[in-house]
Amino acid sequence: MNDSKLSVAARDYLARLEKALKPLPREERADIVNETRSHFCERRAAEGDAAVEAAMAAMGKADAYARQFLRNRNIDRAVASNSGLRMMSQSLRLATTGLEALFGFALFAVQYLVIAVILFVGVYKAINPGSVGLWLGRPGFPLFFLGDPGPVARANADEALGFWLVPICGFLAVGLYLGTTRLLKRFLLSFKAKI
Amino acid sequence: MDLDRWKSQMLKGAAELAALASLAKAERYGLEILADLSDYAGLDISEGSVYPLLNRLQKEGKVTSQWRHPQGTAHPRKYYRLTREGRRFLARMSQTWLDFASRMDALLREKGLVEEER
Repeated sequence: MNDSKLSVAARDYLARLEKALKPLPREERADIVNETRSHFCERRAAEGDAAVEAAMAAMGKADAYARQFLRNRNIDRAVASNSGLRMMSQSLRLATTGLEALFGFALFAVQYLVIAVILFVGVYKAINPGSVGLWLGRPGFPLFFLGDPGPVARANADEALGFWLVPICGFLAVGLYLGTTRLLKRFLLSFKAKI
Repeated sequence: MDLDRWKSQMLKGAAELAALASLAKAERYGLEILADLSDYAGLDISEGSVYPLLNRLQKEGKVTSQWRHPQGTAHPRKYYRLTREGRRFLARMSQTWLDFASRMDALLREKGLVEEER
């Protein structure tokens, strides 16, 4: 498309927009840049260079404008991957954009940490059955502890679950992971730019 | 300003309906859609919002687009049109909007917030 009549600033804007849209497939990127160029040209033809300046001001910096196209795509891709890790890294990127996103990220980080601990206890039980378990204190020794409470506590407590702990931790970890990941999906999708 | 924030949140949802409605009768390109939004709906959504909105509607399968270079214009334009799904969605959105608007209107009248025509 011929944009030789556009001002240097407008052509510069288009070049920066193109650069900022790099993560998109070439065809989609060209489409967005061409449409923006077409918009500038139309505005110029109708109302002159000042209208192009106004359009650029309304779009904001080229980087910020590009992010409006990229943001939804990154969220969609993370959600489609079904991977908790990829969704968490997307959530971390969103965390810089506002308090809601930041709290959400922190909350999900804690949830995944809890899941990791449960999984760890299950695996550790299989390796070290004598000291790991769900320990309940005997009368006079209040204790409710999942894991290895140390030798003194072990001497004053009973292990409640035995080897059942391994499958219980396994199921619990998988179930919590699936549930948490589903919630994380909904959380991420709620951040898709609505406009 | 609280009023401004409330207004901008309300308009965000309305912009999607207005953009789809703009395509109800014929295909249109970005600037025409923008003009419909401001002339008819009084939605002064910025030039910076209309293309990301159209991009999203296209990804959601509600509109499709095609580049064409109409005679007498200096540049090619990207024309948008409703898909079948987009048209169905628009019909349901319109109904929801009209129901909502008339109920809200009734509420405001009931509570004496609407000045009756003399």
